[in-house]
Amino acid sequence: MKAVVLEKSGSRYTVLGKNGTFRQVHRRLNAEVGEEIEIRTGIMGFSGLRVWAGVAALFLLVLTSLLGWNLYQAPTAVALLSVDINPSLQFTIDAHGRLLKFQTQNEDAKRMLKQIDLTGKPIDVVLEEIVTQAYNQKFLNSEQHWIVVGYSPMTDKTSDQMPKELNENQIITWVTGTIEKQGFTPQVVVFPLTSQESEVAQKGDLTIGEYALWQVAQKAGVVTQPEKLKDTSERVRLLEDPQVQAQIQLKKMGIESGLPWTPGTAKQDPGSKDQSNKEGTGKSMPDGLPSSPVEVPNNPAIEKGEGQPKDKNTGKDERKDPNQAYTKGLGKAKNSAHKKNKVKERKQ
Amino acid sequence: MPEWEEQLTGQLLEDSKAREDFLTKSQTFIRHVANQACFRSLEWGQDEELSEALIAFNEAIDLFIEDKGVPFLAYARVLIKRRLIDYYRKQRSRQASSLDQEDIGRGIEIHLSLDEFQEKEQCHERAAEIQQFAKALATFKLTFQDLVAASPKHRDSRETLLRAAQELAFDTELWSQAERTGKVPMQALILKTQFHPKVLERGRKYILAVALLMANQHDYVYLREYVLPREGRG
Repeated sequence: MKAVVLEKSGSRYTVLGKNGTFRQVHRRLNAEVGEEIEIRTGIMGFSGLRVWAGVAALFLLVLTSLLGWNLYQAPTAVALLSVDINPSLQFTIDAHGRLLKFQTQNEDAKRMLKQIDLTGKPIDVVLEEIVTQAYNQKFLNSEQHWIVVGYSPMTDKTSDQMPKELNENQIITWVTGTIEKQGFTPQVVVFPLTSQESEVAQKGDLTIGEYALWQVAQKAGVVTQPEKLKDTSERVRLLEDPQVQAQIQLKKMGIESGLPWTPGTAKQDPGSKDQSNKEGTGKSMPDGLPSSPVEVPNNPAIEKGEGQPKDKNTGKDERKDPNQAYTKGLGKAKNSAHKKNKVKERKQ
Repeated sequence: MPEWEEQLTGQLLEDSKAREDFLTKSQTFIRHVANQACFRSLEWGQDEELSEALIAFNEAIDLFIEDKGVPFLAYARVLIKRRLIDYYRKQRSRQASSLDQEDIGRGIEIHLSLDEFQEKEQCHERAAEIQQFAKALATFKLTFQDLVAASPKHRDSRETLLRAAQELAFDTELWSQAERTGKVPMQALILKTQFHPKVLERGRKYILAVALLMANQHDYVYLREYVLPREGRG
């Protein structure tokens, strides 16, 4: 915009612009009073530049604050993942598929993890590392070649935030990828669980993989105690049971076994019959462990192989939800453990 | 541009009636410039200087080219002043017979083409106007710094105040009152313009300064160009 110089004072001119404004501008050219000069107006004027500089500064401030806030904020755990070989461990992962922290681990897992630090690493690296270490330390061998993996969202809300690559096929690829190169092919079972199921599993001090396996065994009609799944040999026994395998296949095909536990399907595993008989009495086990939550008196149909189990007193279906049986068993386990301690005290 | 000035088109060169009409309407301006140049009040039909000024103004119409971006009145004013200076020199030379006749009229070239009416000349003219404007402002106890502070930054406010100043400047009664008191007759202006009193009160100094340029349009042929309200002004 053109403006006429009205006055010169110091480093500034007082000018009258073509739009009728009196303003002060910086002296750039040596213009005399009465001379017409070109001045920058509007957003490109000096004050406009200051406004833009302010806007830019504000934008940078907001950007820095957002970045800072994101960095400051601890990553949120969105999913749980468990791996049971003999080392048995369960950990949380964030939305980017990175390991946040270990939730539970047994003694073998603790020993193994002393040698490696997996926190913050991507889940594929973590799984490969765990399996490789397990193989190197002979936890995986021709006798024990089973790997049980379970995963679930932390809560219902985080199910959408779970990494997309967290699925059965991908997990199997990660788990088997490295050691297959070394000539060993493990058997991998992957169980997807809901957040509610994982909550129940944690209440019983099981990994979600162990809990899922117990659930499948229950559905297949193979009776076992949940806490016994901590034992590798028991897990292997279940995993190699044809009925359990069939149930796993069904589950894998996305078919929920909605069929009632008919005598044919509720077949007692011969290997566990003796134990279940002992445990099925509702008494304490020889080692003092509580009896199974699906103990015989409460669930005679399973033991006897009858179709629809009924409650003795009410005549209602006692089989219900396996979760209920599991939590119920937990309560009993606590009670019997309490009783065991009291007996010990008396003996002393 | 005042209404009469808007008649200045190419038609004036060919249509003698239109030219005469324009000259008649421009008499006030011609007389005003001549008065300034001669430092006295001149009267049509009595003073020869006004005839000289009219001839200069007529020449300005012939020589003026609209596209050059020079205000016509500024150009005409320079030509009138030069012609009058030359007129006085001739008068003096007649009285002083000892002067060489060849020198008469040599001192100043009265025929100034638009191309010769260069930026420097215009700057000189504008500087003179600014000096006069600063003096006029001082009578209202205003400075350029006051006007910078009072100048509206927002376009809408500026347009409002410019229109208010125009109303003040072209209302003879109101402007006389303003010149007499040195203040904007606020109540009368509010009634006349129907603008919000707060807007006018805030822009009081600006209105006064702008009205000064508009009311004395013959004195501020350059500066008034900066404050006349126009359509689409930024």
